[in-house]
Amino acid sequence: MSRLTALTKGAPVDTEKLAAFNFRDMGGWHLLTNDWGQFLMLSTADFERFMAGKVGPEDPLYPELESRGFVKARLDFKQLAANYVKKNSFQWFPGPSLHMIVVTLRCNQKCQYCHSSVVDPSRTDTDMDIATAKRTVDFIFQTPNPTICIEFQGGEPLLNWPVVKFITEYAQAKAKAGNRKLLMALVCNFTLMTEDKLDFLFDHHVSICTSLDGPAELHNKNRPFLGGGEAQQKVVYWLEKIQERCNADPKKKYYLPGALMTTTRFSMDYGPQIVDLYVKLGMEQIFLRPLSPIGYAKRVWKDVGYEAEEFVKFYEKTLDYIIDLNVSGKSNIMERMALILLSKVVKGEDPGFMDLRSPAGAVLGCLAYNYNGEIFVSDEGRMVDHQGDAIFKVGDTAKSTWTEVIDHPTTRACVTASTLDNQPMCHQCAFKPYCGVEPVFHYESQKSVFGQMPTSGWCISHMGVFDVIFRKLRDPRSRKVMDKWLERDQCRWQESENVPAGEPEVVR
Amino acid sequence: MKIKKKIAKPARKSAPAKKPTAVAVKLSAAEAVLSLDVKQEGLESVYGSAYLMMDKAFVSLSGDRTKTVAVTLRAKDPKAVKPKALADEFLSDLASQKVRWAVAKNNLPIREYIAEQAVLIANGTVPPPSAAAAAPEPTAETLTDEQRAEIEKLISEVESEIKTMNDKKVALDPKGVKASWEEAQEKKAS
Repeated sequence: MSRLTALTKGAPVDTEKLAAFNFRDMGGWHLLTNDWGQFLMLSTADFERFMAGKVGPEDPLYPELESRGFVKARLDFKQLAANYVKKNSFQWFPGPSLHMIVVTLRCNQKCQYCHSSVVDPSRTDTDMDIATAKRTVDFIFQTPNPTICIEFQGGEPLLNWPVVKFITEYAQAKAKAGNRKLLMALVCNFTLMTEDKLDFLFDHHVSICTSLDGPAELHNKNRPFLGGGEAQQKVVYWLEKIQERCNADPKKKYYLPGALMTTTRFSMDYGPQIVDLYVKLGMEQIFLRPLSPIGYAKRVWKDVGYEAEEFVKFYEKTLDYIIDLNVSGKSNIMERMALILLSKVVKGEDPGFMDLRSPAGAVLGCLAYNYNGEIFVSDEGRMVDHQGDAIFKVGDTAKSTWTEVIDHPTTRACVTASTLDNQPMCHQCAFKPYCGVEPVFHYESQKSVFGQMPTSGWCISHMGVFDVIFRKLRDPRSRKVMDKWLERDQCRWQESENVPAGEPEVVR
Repeated sequence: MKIKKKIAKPARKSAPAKKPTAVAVKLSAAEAVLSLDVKQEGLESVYGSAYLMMDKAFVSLSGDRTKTVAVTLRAKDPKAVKPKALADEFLSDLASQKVRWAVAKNNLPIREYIAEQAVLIANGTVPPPSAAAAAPEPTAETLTDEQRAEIEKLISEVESEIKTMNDKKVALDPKGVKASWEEAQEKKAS
């Protein structure tokens, strides 16, 4: 059986009565989904009755099939269309909202898996200058999305602090003048954080996110300082410091710092210890992210990488541990990837995650700006350029207009390649309503922006994670925990929603 | 007009899935060769099944795609998968592919109609269901004359826009994505 799964041999099917849907054999039960984001989990016996056209209006199963758009003769067109609008809300906003600015390529760490293609701290020639920074912000404000989110990336952005400050103040002035909604975020390694910098970030409502891979021995192995030294202790120190200040001031409670962990081969045996550290630090969420074979990580894949199936096993095992903590009442920590997928599946909403969209976030949802003003479809696209391949470059802030960027042939290629209805396997996959493919990942791993899904690590790991999430949804014990996560996450968004245009807003 | 025909004529009833009738399966120590009747199996289904095999096998297609196609399957790891297993998996997927494609084809006009409705709701042209009067909706198999007329109208509008685009050699931009923020504000103000 292929990974898409197949019907039972010889089972009768009446295709005329079936509405548009995809199915997946989950082993003892079947998952059904449709274009409008609705899903049903049926026992295999019920699934076979449904496929054979033997579920009539008198059948107890019928109302559920009908209400979710699986009975062709009873489709509520307007409701299904409304579901589609809600599920794909990102499609109705013109232009990208996320703008990642690489203010320097310099970094003081030498991470084993560095995605960002950094250079030595002495290479100040890779710092963005003020003129380029101004042009970059001006370009960003040309783009038509009413909401703009500027995210500082690197290298280590704090190594070019003057430009971070300039962009923050200049963008906020432009947002106020133009009545645009602006969100600001900084992704840094905390090793160069100071009280003064923190004051500035709080005063300007810049949210902060860092990398924390786990206990010291793991984090320091994954993310060592250049020349040696302990990095994890600094991260933990500043996380605690910032949390202390946020918790002391109700106005700052939305600015609680976030942390991202990247899973390397060395992380595989550390699942519970990583979670325990996040719990100990009072983090609300942990994001179990796989490593991508992009940039430097591609070159050292044999040392730090792993098979997609190994990640899925790690993910399931660690998620089980997190759910157990929730059930036992020891912690209410949430797992971010699960939350993203649950928002899509259960709530029928788009959580704003660029990687899992159809079409992908490239240009339509995000843009990345290099230190020299070059514009790329995404930060991963910029990393490919750093290796000498400019295929994902779509402009330059010195000379390009927004119209030229959105019309660029590379933009069109990325959109076409990442539209799941164009992908031979994806268009029949039960996870299609919630999934997405990433052109840069597939270019790097398979030398094609389209990729080849049966052999794609992206597909294997995402399909595996979807399998895990749907199995948890069918399990009442896990479902109860996940429903609580969804309630809490919704509350947080509602609480921070009413920020007037022109005012900075928190990014999480 | 293709879409018109699809709406006017009810989708052809597909036969219940039955065992794929490969004309012949030839097995050797290294490969499996399946000869398939294209009219009976459907070219999309054959392509789809071949694509799904690519994680396990090298697949080559030959023959006349209007009559008979030969699918050759050679295991990527011959020690792990035997040609017979590849042939069985291909045929199992082929049966499912036929169902998947039949369902997709039968529902194409409905999916298009709902997608169009979604665009209209998103643009504010029609209200979302919560704001609309709670009139019972006709079912998919009983499209009213009004609905048919509405679909025809929408299709002709799109065709007209495409024609304009082709005539003037300009790209469509119904959502105004290509306009900068300033241009959009100026347009709004005027």
